[in-house]
Amino acid sequence: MEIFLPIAHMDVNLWVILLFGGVVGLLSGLVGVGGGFLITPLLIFIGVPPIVAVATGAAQIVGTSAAGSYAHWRLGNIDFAMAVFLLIGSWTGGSVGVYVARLLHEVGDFGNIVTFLYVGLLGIVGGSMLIESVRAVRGQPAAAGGGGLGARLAGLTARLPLQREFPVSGLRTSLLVPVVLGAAVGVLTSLMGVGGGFIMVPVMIYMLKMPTKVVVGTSLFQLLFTTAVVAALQAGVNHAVDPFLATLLIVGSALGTQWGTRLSVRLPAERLRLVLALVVVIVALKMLADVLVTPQDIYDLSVLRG
Amino acid sequence: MRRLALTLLLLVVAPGVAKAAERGIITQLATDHVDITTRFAGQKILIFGALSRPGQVLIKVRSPVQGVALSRKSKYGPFWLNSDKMYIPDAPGLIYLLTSEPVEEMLGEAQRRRYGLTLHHAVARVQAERVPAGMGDWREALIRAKRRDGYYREAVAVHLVRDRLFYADVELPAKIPLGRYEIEIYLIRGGRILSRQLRTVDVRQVRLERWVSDLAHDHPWFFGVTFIALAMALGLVLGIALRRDGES
Repeated sequence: MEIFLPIAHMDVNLWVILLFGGVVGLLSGLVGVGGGFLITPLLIFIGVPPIVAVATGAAQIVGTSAAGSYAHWRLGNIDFAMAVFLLIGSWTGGSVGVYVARLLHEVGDFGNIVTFLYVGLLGIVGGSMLIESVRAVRGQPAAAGGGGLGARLAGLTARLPLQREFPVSGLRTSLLVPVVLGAAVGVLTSLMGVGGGFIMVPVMIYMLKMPTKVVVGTSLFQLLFTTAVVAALQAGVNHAVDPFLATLLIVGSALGTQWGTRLSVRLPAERLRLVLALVVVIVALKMLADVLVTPQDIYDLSVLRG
Repeated sequence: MRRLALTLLLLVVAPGVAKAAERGIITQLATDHVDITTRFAGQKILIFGALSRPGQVLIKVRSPVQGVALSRKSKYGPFWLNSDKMYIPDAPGLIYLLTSEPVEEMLGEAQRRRYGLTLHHAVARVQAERVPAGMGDWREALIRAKRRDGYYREAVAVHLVRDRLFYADVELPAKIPLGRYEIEIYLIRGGRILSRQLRTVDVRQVRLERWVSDLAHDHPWFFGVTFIALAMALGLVLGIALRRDGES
């Protein structure tokens, strides 16, 4: 069934969008990753303008992280003090990012930047996941690579000013750490439409050595309110959030996540991670191929209004 | 369907043929509005009419103008990247030029240019805000892109029945510009335009889509904040409902 997207200004097949949401939800249910980094490229592949894909991707994450945040809040897994400073950073970074996106979009460079950010990000994330999961499938122990760097950075942050206690996380660190971390994630949310959990979670676990339970709750909570503010800004500044597209993606991914969570009990985790890694690498290669192949027509037309 | 339409056509038009002698041409549209809904997947408009004397017919369908951006790719190292972007505030969204014979055989160059009766001539008057270096051929690029997507069309697609009746099925793509479409119908004989009639068809985005798109553009902040709150609520409700379902 074809439906017309009022903001993306194009027709899409309803089932294709539900399927995209479902597949990404399924992966996140199976492996426990957010999956925002797959939605945006998939939307771009079917012809959604990059800025709409990025903005709608952020809106979709709002919907998919709401239920999880609520559950973690009930369980007391959120370090609110930490979350507040993360959000101060991410709202600042996100606002800057939204205006940068507008500027790039007007000049015509937004699509290029998004492509390269994605090829780089998905290449690194997918590549390292691939190496790690191939090791795991073969039964080799995981490399303890991140630990050394994390410990050194942790030593560095101990010397920064504005040290403060974060009792729920059981650590003492500078306020600048969550603010800067938040700002980086906010920029990624506004330029790529991702939640940024793939940066937030490793930093919290390896560098700040927060308890894993608190990491998951706190990062999900900040991600919810970062994407909420960034998506509202994208709608307000760039008129780029497509409500129909976002709603379909939210519904699809909610269904997919439930299915994935149930399936994950029965399927081997290492192989699942391998599958996800392959998907991520394929998406990165496809994005790269799209800028390498000679275009049929060097001109490209996009309708702005009417 | 076509037979039915032709039967209707004869019923409707036959009494009027006598009148056709006065103005040379009588035309009728089978519909005067097109509604785009969520299930809109292209629509046909049947244009038909009668001629008082044998002649040739040209039908020009034109949508309201739209703002478009045209970007150009260049090769940087191994990469094809967008290098320039220009805005065309008043580009014709859709132009169909349907004729009963090839237009070059019906009209001379001067007439075609004057009334914009080829795509090339119709686009010649379109202006751009600023043309970046290297995008001098943007008008041709616009025509090419629009043709590829089915928005610009030149075709011998007006059917004449016994030199007196004509009809054309105008098939619109699924995703069309909104607003008042002008349909000009020209009666041509011996290289001269004898008569020109103008009709309009309203293409509307109905109900929800129109409302949503207006809201998102006219009150972007209100729309943004409200929609994000709704998205959050939807996620929460779905999450809780589906989890319950899973437990039972």
